[in-house]
Amino acid sequence: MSDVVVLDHASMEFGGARVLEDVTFTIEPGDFVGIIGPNGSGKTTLLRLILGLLAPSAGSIRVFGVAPTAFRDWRRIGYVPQRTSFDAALPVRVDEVVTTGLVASRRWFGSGSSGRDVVSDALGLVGMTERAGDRVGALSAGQQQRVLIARALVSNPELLILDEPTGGIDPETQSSFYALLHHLNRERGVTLVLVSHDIGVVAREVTKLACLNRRVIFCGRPQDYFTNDPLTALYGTTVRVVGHEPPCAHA
Amino acid sequence: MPELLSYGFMQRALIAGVITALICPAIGIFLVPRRLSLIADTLAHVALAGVALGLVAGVSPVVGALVVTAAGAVGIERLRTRGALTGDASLAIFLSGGLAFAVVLIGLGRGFNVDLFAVLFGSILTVTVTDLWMIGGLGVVVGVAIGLLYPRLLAITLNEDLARTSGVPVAALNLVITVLTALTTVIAMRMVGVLLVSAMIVIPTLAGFALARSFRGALFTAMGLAVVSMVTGLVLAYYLRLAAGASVVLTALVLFALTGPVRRFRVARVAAATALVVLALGATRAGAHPHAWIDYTVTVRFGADGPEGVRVDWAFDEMLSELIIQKYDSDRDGKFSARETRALEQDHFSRLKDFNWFVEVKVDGTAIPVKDPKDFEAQNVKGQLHYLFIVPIPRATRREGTVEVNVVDATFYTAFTAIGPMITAEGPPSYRIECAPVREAKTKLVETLRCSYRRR
Repeated sequence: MSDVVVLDHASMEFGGARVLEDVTFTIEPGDFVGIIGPNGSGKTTLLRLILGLLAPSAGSIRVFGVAPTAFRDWRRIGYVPQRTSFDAALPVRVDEVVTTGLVASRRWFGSGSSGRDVVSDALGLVGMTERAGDRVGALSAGQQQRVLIARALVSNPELLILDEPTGGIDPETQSSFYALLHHLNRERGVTLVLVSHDIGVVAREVTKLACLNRRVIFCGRPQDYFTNDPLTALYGTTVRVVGHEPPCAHA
Repeated sequence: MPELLSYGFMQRALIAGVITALICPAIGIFLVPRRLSLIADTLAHVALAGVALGLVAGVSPVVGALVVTAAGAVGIERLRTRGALTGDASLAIFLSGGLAFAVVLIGLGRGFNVDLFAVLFGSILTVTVTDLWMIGGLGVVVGVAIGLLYPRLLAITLNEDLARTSGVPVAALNLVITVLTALTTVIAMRMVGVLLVSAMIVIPTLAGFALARSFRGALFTAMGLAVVSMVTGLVLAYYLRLAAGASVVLTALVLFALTGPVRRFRVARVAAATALVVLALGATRAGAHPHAWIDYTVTVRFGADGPEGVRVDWAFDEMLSELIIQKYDSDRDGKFSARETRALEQDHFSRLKDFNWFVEVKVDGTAIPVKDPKDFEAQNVKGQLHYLFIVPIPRATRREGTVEVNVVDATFYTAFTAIGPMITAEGPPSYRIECAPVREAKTKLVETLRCSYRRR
């Protein structure tokens, strides 16, 4: 099977400022990739490049073998953005939001089915079936995030990209969230790309870790990462890794 | 059937109004959440430039408005997406730019007969059958487009990045929304006028958002409220003799204040109460602006001894034409028989005696009394009502001099406009007669209509 995402010496500049430099790495089918790095290290920019929301200023990117800006088969990709806040005044129902994840598979003309079954399946995966008729604005941050994940899952994607999905969510909800990701990756074979600050959890869950600070500082199996002390190189100072399990420190 | 429904102009106003009321919130619901509420206001000002350009270029003002507004919509969208200017800054540029163009063009074309008041505040009660076809056609285009694109438009409205990664061509659809907004603006402009367009797009949408529990529900609620505002506003306008567009918008505001998110605030209740009082007082304050529009021409008749009379031809506006024809053409044959004419003369024409039929005639500089006009005749010219009558000039032998005529309503109830050649003369070749409007030197406004004559 061919690679899902290939970055080949990709760089990105905004008004002369280098945000990403010479990034090269490959995501294979079935990978669970964690991307970590300090604020401003270019994590979100990297995701936006993969999603075709930005075009690289140098180098090349392939998603399912196609440049993302020319990519058309969007059903294969699910995207959960960073803390998209909904206008609470806007009356949008949970199922309406999830249904918008299906627009790519809709025909332009003709009504077509609204995909009621897949919508309720996706809501079931995130445990929100009962809230299908609620206003999104009335939900908690964690519940809104789960709605966005359901929206990303509704088209049954092969690649799911999540940008700091656990921001503002309590630990309990987080652990059920990671259980969901685990299930998707191991049972359903969904390739996952997860940007997070939560180094401990990321290290435990992912199969491949990329440390980013404008450049890729480390890329490989997480267990190799923690023996090589690259966190100091990444953050420029001694970092204590904290997870939900008893914290483990690395000098 | 209530009386107002028996009038064609009211039927047309209601049909056009309901179409407008359905379309405006259907587009507004995709604009308001994205902070683009003022785009309609901006496009309406651009449309004003289009109306003026159409008049200068000699094409239909509606065509001018459509073309220029669509072009403006594309321009705004380009500025917005390129990030050259933030959304509201590009709107401000187009709004003021459109207005400035319009003012200059209207100034240049002083000769043409722009009813600026109607363009600014709408003239829903003078909707013609042609207008109705146009409004219906544009309405179908906008409605079908929104119906087909609804899932994608909803995705864009929630979050543009998410929509893009779900395969929605966001840039193209934003352009489509903006152009649909332009079409909607041109429709709504005909109804409520340039200055009130954004009210029809924004107010029902906000009320819909406040009341509904889903986006689709908000759309239908907004449409329903807009239709209720439109019909109620028109009926109020008819019975209280208010400006139709403004009373529609005030009705929408009252509904919004009662149902919308602001209803807890005392200021909203005060505003609603004020709007109601204004609507109620409307009837007594109805004299402040013209209620009838009459185009006229004047012909001075000469006999063997000089000027004998002034023949005046009034052409009524559509609404008044319809009202009067409906009432006095009893046998509905499209003509006024001798008996019908007599009834009309007694009931209506004779009562204008108190106003001297709005005609002033000076012969050789001296005003002559205007009384007992002769040969009253009413005509139905393709639905437009004409009054023709002659103001006699007292007999005397005159070799040379002038006849000056003014047609004016000092109370501004009726707006009189001289059209065509304005003043002409007919009579025996024994007089050399020259007729022309006399204009004030600076403003070029017509002061009076004058014929000079001299016996050969």
